[in-house]
Amino acid sequence: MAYIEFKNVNKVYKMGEVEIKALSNTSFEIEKGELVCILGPSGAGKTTCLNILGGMDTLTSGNVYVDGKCVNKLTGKNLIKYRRNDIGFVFQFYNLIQNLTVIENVELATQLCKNSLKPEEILDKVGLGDRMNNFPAQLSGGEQQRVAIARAICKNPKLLLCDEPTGALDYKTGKQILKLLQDTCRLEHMTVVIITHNSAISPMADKVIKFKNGSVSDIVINEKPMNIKDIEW
Amino acid sequence: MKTMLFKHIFMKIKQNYKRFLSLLSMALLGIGFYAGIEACSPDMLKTLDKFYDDNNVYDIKVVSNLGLDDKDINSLSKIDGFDKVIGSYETDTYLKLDNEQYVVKVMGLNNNINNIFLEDGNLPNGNNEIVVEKKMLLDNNLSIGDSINILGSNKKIVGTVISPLYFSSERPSTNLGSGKVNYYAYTLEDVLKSDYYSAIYITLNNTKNMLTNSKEYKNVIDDAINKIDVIKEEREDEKYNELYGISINEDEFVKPHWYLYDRLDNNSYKELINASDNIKNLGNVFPLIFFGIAVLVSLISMMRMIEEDRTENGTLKSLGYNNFYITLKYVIYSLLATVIGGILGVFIGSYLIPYVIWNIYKKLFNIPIFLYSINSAYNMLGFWICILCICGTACVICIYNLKDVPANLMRPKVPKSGRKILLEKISFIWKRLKFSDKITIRNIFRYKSRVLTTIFGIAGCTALILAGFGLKDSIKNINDYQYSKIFKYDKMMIISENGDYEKLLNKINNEEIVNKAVDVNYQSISVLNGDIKQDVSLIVPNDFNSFNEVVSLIDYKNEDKIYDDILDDSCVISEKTAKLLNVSIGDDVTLLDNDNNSYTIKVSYIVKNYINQYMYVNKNTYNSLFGNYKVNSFLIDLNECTSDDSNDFDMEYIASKDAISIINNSDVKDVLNDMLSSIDSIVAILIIAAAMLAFVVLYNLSNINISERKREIATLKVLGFYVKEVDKYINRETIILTILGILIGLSSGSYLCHYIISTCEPDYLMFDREVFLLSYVFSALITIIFTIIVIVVTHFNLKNIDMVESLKNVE
Repeated sequence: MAYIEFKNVNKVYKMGEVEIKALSNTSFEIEKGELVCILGPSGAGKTTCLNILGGMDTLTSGNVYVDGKCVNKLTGKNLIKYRRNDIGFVFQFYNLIQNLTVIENVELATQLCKNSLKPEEILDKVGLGDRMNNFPAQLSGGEQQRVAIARAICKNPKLLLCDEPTGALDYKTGKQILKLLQDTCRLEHMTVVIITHNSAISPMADKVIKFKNGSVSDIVINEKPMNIKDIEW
Repeated sequence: MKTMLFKHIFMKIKQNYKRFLSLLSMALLGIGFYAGIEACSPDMLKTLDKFYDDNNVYDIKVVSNLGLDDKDINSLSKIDGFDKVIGSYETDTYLKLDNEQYVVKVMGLNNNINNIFLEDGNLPNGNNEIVVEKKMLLDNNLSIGDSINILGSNKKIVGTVISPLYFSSERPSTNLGSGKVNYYAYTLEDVLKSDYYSAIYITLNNTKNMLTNSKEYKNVIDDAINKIDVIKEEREDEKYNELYGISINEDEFVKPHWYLYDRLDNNSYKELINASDNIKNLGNVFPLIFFGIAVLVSLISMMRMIEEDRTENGTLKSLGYNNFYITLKYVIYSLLATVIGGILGVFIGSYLIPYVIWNIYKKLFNIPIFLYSINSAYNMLGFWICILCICGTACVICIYNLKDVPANLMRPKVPKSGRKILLEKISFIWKRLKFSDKITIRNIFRYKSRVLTTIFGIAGCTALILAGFGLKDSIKNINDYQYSKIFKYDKMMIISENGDYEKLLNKINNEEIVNKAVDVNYQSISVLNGDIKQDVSLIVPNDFNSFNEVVSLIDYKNEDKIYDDILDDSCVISEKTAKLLNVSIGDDVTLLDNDNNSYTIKVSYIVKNYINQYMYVNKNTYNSLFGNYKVNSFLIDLNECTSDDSNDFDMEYIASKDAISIINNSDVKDVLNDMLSSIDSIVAILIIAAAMLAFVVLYNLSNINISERKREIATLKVLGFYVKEVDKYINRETIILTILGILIGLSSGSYLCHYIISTCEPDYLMFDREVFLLSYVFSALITIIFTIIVIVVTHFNLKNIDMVESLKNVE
């Protein structure tokens, strides 16, 4: 059994009378320590897939296993526990808490779990060692996204889920963020899933899962993933 | 464009129905309470006015010590402006029921004036029939159809009635029995016919069109009384001549004397006017604060909504809608909420609150009707303030928010930057705080406007609740204190002028039930300081040492200090008098006697006194001021005895004509207790209303808090905060704010209570300005209970926040 298994997952939203099929019969697998890119146009079901994987959303039918745990069977406190201990989330718009300093934003996450990493060390690693006492509003977009990543990896999760992490950033900063994510995967051996609509960056991943109209259209395995530094787009 | 606008607004309401309802309920509560309390006093007056108009109740009553006749009626009828001048037969008589002797006032039925309201049964048809007040039947297990022996013959009770002259529990005094009428009854006029009328009742032209007791009405009455005064002496002289002839020496006979009364001299009428004044005064401050809090919270709510709609408005603007259109949307939205809520409030408030208050007063006043009225002048004022505040804010915030170009508006607002707070600079405290405490503290300083509103709202409600409890406390003990600590005597006997008072005093002092009788001069007098005038009772003891045994002159500031003398050339006044006249010890006041002579005297002591106003001077001072000191009353302290014994005593001395009248403090106390307990019930309503407001305010603010921080809360959920932890994160703030609010509310509430007392205290009462510890506890507890309820509701609201929805990339 693979580390992560997405098996015949269907997701139907009901908007009043209308039913919208966000995911239909979606299946894929991810191995431990892999860097995975989920590619596809908007509305293809990428985010829904990530939300289900992260325990933020429920599915209509099918099964999702993470490290042997059946995520869709988790409810209530156990589901929260799963998000708390196993998942790190990074969003397009950072979602930092404006009223907390950089270090406090990270501490907010680390105080939750037992085997968390030291916030100062992680912030050093993401290159924000000297901005720890600033508030989010005093940082650039790239810096804020690094805080968000630091907050996510500080929890030492099994799975780092990133939804368009560079969507709001310029080319250069975006590249730096992707570098950080790639490094995290390679050096910390963390499983990282990145959603993007930019196919140009897919060579950096071990596995590329392509979405189209709510289901997986193709899965490509890169035998030799490139260093993001060497990719231009 | 127009239909689009209304479509937009309709959608807005549908989308934000919770907010719409909360705005609506705020307006409803605020305006409703305001309108309701304001309506009570006018409703009561209008009811009284209608009751009196419907029953042709007199405007002026003329009584003579020697009776009145048709000649008097004739000369009164000639006076310009008088409508009806009608003589009436009345008599006070004994009624024996079950070995108990009562005094009944029997009045002749007259269709032209002071008509009675038939509650049950029929009006008398023949001379052997009688109608009585219901209380008489209830007290004595009688029913309609029974016969009683009264006025020398058996009469069948054929109905129960309400007299417009005696609709409160207070009955007039009499020279029979114990000096007080027990019940009233009506028979046909024939039964009572005699040579003289007992009273002449007069109604004036046009007074029916005026509200009774209004300024206009009082002016007309004053004019009319002046007109009667012109013919009064002439009538009195003529009567004298008629009775005794001209030649006889005047001193040997009782001179005829006319007494003129208006409606205010009727106890029932006066009590209702006082009650109406009480509720009016009580309602001066309460609803205003109430109203203020409601408007403030609505305002914050509206502000939040416009900020939330930022992106949507940006889109509208980019589509070409102008600022006016967008602003109009919110103005109409808030207008709809406040107008609908306000109108509902006016209707519900103007009926419900007077209904409840009238039901409380019904125990005191037996009036079969009640008029509800929607008093537009008052309501409109509250209405406009409310609309102006809420719609005005909508305008201002819209204009402020729409200044930006559409492109910027469509982007999410740049979040307000976090800021370090002062406390962080004091690192030895900051370091010690737990992480979660730091967040809480910083958040409190971040959302200043909401936090301040919350604190102010909670403080306001707590203060209102405490003021309510404080008012209850302030009236709780005054009656007992007055009649056990200050006045130890039980009866005041006004003695006949002609007898030998020393002999009588001796006799009374030797009565078995009497502990001590003290002789005093007792009279009414006016005291002035500059333009301020107060009517007080002047008591001049004949011998201070014995007086001291029945009245304690307790220092108004120090309860342990009891004065054992009254200094020469100075006076002692009650605390309330000093307050109203604005004088302190050592100041001079002016006395004004009945003949308008004025005398200046120094205030030497100010004494505790809760009921009525008193002045004490010693005999020397009295003689040097007015001369000719004369004992006219006894203050009688009884030993432990039954009320029957006390009653027998009264009957004995009234019968022997030694006493003109006897006033029992226990009766005074009862009447007062009725009134105080009605104030008590009204205050209970105020407390309930304030508590309701507290709940709505807390609930609203908590909703605003959550909607403002949806994204933050969703982030916490994604990070894996447990439900309890999310609750804590939000509620820790609520709890701190509630505690702060309660503390501020409790400390300001006692001031508010004092202020309300100072505005609502009638001149003849002095409330204790004391708030009991328990009231503080209750007020805090009520607010805490509401906070807990709100926390529970918040728990579910937090649980329902959808992470995916709240964190969607574009707001």
